[in-house]
Amino acid sequence: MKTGALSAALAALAALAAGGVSAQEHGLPDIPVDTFRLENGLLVIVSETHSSPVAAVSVWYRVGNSPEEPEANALAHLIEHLALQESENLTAGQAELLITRAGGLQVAGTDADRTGFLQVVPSNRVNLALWIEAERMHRLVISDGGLRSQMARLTSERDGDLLGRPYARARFAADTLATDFVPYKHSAGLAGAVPTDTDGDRLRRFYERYFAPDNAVLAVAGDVDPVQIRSLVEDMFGGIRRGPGVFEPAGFPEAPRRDGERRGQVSEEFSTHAFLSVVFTTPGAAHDDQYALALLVRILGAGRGSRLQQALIHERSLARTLTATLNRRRGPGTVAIDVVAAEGVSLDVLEAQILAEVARLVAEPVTDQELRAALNQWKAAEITSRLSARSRVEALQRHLLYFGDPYRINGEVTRYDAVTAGEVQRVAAKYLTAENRAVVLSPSRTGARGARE
Amino acid sequence: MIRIPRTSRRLARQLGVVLILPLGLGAQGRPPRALPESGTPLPRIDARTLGIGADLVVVERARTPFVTVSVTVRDVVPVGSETPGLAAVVARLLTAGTTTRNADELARAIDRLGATINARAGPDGATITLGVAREHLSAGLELLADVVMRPSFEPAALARLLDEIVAGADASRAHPPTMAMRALLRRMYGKHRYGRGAGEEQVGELDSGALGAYHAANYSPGNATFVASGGVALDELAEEIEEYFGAWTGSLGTAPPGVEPPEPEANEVVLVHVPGAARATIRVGHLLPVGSDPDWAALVVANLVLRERLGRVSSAVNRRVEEGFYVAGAEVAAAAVDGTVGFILDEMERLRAEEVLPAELEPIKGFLAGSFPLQVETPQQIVARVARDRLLGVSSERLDEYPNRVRALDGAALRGAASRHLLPQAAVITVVGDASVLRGPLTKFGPVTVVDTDGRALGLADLAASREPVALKLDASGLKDGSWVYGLTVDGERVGEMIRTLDRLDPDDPDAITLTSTVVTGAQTLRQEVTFRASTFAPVAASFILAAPGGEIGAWATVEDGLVKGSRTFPDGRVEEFQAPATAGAVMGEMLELALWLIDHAPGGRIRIPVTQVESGTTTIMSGRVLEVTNIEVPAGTFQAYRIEMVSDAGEQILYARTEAPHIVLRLETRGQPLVMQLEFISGS
Repeated sequence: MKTGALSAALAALAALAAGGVSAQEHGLPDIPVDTFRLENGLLVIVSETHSSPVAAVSVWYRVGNSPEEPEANALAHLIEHLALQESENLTAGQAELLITRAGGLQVAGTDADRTGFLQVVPSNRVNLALWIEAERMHRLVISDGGLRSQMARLTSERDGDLLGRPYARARFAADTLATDFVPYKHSAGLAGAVPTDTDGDRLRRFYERYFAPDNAVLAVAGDVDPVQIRSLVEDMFGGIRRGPGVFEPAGFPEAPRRDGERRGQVSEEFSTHAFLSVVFTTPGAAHDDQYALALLVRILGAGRGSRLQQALIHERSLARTLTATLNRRRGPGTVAIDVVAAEGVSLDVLEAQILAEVARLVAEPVTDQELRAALNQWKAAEITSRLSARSRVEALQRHLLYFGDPYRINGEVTRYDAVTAGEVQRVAAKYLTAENRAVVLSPSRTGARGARE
Repeated sequence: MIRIPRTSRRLARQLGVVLILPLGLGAQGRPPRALPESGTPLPRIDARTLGIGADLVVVERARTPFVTVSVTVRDVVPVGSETPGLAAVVARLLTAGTTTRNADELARAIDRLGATINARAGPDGATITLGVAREHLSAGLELLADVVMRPSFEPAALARLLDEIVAGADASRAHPPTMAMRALLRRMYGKHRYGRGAGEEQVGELDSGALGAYHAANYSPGNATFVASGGVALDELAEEIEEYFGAWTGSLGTAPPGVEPPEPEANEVVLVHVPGAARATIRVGHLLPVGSDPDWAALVVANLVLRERLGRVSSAVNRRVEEGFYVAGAEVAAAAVDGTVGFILDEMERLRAEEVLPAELEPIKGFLAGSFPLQVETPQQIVARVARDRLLGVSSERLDEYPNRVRALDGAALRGAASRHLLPQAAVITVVGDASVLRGPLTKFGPVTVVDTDGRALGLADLAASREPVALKLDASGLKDGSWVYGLTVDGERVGEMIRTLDRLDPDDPDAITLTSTVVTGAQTLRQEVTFRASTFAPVAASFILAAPGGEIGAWATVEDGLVKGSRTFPDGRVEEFQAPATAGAVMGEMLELALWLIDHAPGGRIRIPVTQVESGTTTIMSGRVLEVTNIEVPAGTFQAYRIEMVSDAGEQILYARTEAPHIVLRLETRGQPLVMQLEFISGS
């Protein structure tokens, strides 16, 4: 399908939505975006820049660890592992070898919303990266040996996630409490990442359903010629049979939640300090409140000058470390505040301090200075995330996944610029509530819940 | 789809014919050939000297709305007693407050711009890096100047940092790879400053005065290089830097005559003694030329060849302003130490003696040259690379000079560089492990110096004294006779079973317990038996016999009068006898598992059990840790269990032991193998 006209129309719509002001005028250069779709349904995004002889190729499949088939939990993650390993024309480990020898790298990941593969290569090897992704899309090998070894890898990944990262259990428990609804309650961020059933036929059916071209988006960014990319893609992907179409979850629940605070306690066997996670459920990434929430999180807990870091670390030495994070998903995500307590400090004291700062956000507007600093931090992060082909290709994929529109990336700065102190106060009052809150405590191994007040 | 018969492809190769395929597609069943290079160049490097005396290097990316600027200050002028770690402490405190802004004010000012300022120190100097949106560059440079020129070195901030450094050093001191590297650096560099390490032992003595003196002596524009990349041109940035750093004065620091590192003429071994260690950590290294030496591109390639050839052994070259160093390393079972060291030295020698063929060399060059653009794609990456090169004394005019040098290397050039710089006959070999076991096998490589973990020399008498057993004080008197049946599965399929019985066979001697385990899988049978004293948990006799269609092997041993005496039989009927000193507190054979039944476990708890081998009388340490308490379902029922990780020379195992005493093992998994053993039936405790 020819999409030049569609691209132009979408770009114009994006500019309109952004109030007719392009990102360029706000210090961010526009990212060039072109799209086309193959007959088999594969959507392709191409972003051409020639700042460095590097190209990035990414394929995202619209299936994560949370399809609405509880029994299929983590099968996408298993297929990600298998596909990274071998295909009909690539023996085990050969893809990694070919990419490495070309000077490139490949990574893959599965989260709640999608399974993604990414390769970054010298631009004259973009054809190799595309060829490998085409192999993954329709020539997956599911062998007994491969299954066994990848199951072992998944187990070891899970063990590493849970035992190798400080406070991982508590963070996972808090996230689960905040998003324990369909479809994310089957999410395999950590503990569920290993399927219990490895029936090859079932796995094959799952692969054919979800890893088909019409449930995938291929994005290419960097030092490439869009005409040449189109020719390569048509040749390598055009013959792949289409599947049953895009998988869309039946629906996501509304945020904020109104079913009351959820609390949990987790024992972290190898953590020497007490830990507290306070998590609020937020709406999906496409919701208009996301812009104010992103700035709110920075004002609350990002950087030394943020309110919580000042109050808990620098003024009263109650905490060793503190982070505040906005976790975005297609469906409801979270604002997570994670704190490692200082020696002997009670988790109750920490929690009370956090909630007091949250209450202050609700009670009075943030200052102009705070808002400006948060906006500048966001812009700097956004600029740096566009400096490499790798980060550009992933940003385009994210915008398509969240908004159904990759062109939207060029209008985002205007939306952040429009956030006011009143908006921040409004979303604080809406989402940072007791009934929308999950709290997980992880006392230290030695000192119960601590004693210092 | 284009398909070319294999024979045609082979023929084409033989005839030197290039088969042209459109767009470099290749046949669909094969990876495509590389496309022609796009011609997109890597950016140019511009440089000039600023009026304040510092050098400025700029790699302009005109359309990028972001700028990264670094200032690198060479570590040249020692202060006072040259406390190791001083330069690093100074760098880390630069961002903790200035004479014009306290720590909070500084942090808020940086946050307001959405900027970052980071400082870190390496062995040759410190680099302070600003990352800022182009529109805030001026304000960012003003902050950078404040940080570089006017740090306050507040005593409270210094005290906090020193506590952190000392705590970190305490945590890593017992880490064998850290111990091995420290011993290696100390030996290779002698009294040269690179040999003094991070100096965590002495940093506690530092005060703000020493930091200020170091800063005054080294942080001068004559000793500094600015490197920038992003949306700013050379002259434009020069003007801004002159404005904000205009008050910065000072000339090039003059380094006093340095201490030359030693030049060994033969291999030598430094053995760091860790009593009872079952494994050994090896580092083999020697010095390499100074950072500006033209052979460095070849040395980087040579290292990658070595890395491929050495497999699981790591291999690295470290480039510094003065002499750099090569290091290969591995963590192996004690019995494999001499073989591994010999293998490393042989491969180093092979690289000196034989030319690397194109089939091996070209993929490595392809990787290095091909991956280079990925390493200099963003302003941050470019600045890090160029600043490092300048510090090392390498002044390129274009970023692609390095990949071009790599592409130009051939086998002869590589061999030349290897023969000039690799020293398999004059290397320092450091090993961390049990010196009483390792000393003998390592003497073949050169004179062995044994030291303790603090670097103090140990004599043979010290070694003997340090062989104190890790005594287990367990009492099995409370265990009841019984039997336990385990199922063995491979990928979930039952392939055999194990029956374990615990009996008091002699009614007149209830303190003597015999534990028997019989494993039957297909045509193979393994029977193990051990008799021990219940009250002291001391082994008396043990045996095993493995019967398979191809023959039998077995061993038996007794412990008496401080000796383990026994014999082992081979499939051909041969019998060998052995005798070894008994290790007090050691268990034998299946007692290991009973020990796990009896130990008081707690999550996070460490386990060390000395185990005497029935077939040799030697003793090794099984170590492990209790990972967590979890619920587990096995055919015998659902239990709350300790999840325990055990490590030995043979590999890693995960065991689940019932939390209720005795802590019967419910399930056993071996990492990397599909074999699982699960309890199916209990009759007894």
